[in-house]
Amino acid sequence: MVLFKILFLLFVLIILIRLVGRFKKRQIRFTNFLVWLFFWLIVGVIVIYPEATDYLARFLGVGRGADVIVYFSLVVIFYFIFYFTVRLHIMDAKVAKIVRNISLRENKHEN
Amino acid sequence: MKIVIIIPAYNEERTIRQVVSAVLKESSLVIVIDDGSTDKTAQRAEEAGAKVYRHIINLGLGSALATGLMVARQYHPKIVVTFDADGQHRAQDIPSLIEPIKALRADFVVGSRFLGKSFRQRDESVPATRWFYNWFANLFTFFLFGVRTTDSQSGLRALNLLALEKINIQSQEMEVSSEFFKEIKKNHLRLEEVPIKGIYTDYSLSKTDLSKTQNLSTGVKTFFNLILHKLIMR
Repeated sequence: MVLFKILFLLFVLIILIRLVGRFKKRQIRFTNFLVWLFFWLIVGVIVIYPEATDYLARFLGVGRGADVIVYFSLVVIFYFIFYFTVRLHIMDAKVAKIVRNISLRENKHEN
Repeated sequence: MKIVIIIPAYNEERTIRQVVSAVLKESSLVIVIDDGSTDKTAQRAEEAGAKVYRHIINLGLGSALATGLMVARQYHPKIVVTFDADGQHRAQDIPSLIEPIKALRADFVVGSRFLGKSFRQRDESVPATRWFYNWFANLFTFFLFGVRTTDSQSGLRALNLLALEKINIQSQEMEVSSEFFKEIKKNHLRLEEVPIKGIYTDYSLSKTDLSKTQNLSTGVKTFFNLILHKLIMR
């Protein structure tokens, strides 16, 4: 169990370092940075004190703290899959529009 | 009557010249949408006498057809015909294909390889797997969009001005064939099917296109794209 904690904390630490790096390079916005910072800090706390989630579990009526985490993670993951699918479709449509416009323009020059 | 023929093509240098020459007998305006081919498709099509519009990258059959319709609108035609580039359609089917539009009976005509033919009666050139795949695609098209058709994956279609104006294609790839039926239903267009003969050569069978031969993975992908389309698009 201790090894698991160390590995997981290392993982969280790496992500936090990269997050700060990205923020410094202005690749992500401040609000985005805060949300992710907060998220990964909470993950870190939960790794160190897994019992903390049991309060939440009791409050929500779910058996164990670990289960709450799994349920919550699944919801978040599915939301993101949906979000990215829609985003991808929008991007595809934009790319198609650009390519189409270029092809129409090229032929206009010829005529 | 002004007819524009649209041929979406992707890496079809082997067949495009013949196809363009053949359809030029039916209409003087043949437009090839070269969907980012890496071979000499565009050059061959131009040599044969087609007007060529190039996508700088490969977008997929749906996008190529959408570009084709957009281009066709600029020429103010009375009828638009879509035709496959791999040589599986016969140019001599075009007159019977556009007849229902000329007679003002239909807004949209599909050239069906399966009309009025059961599995046993099918053309001997149609492979059995092809027949079953198409049967499933027809069922699925009916299930999703509520239109009965005997050949939901046909690449030979004719549109009149109304259909050309109303039909708005969103899908990028193979699922476009079914999307046409969705648009037909949505815009209350009159659909008619006309029997045509498909030419299944070793070449057209080796292709992994939906209107041509569909391998299983493209089929599954098209299936999911259609469901996604149904869920996300209006």
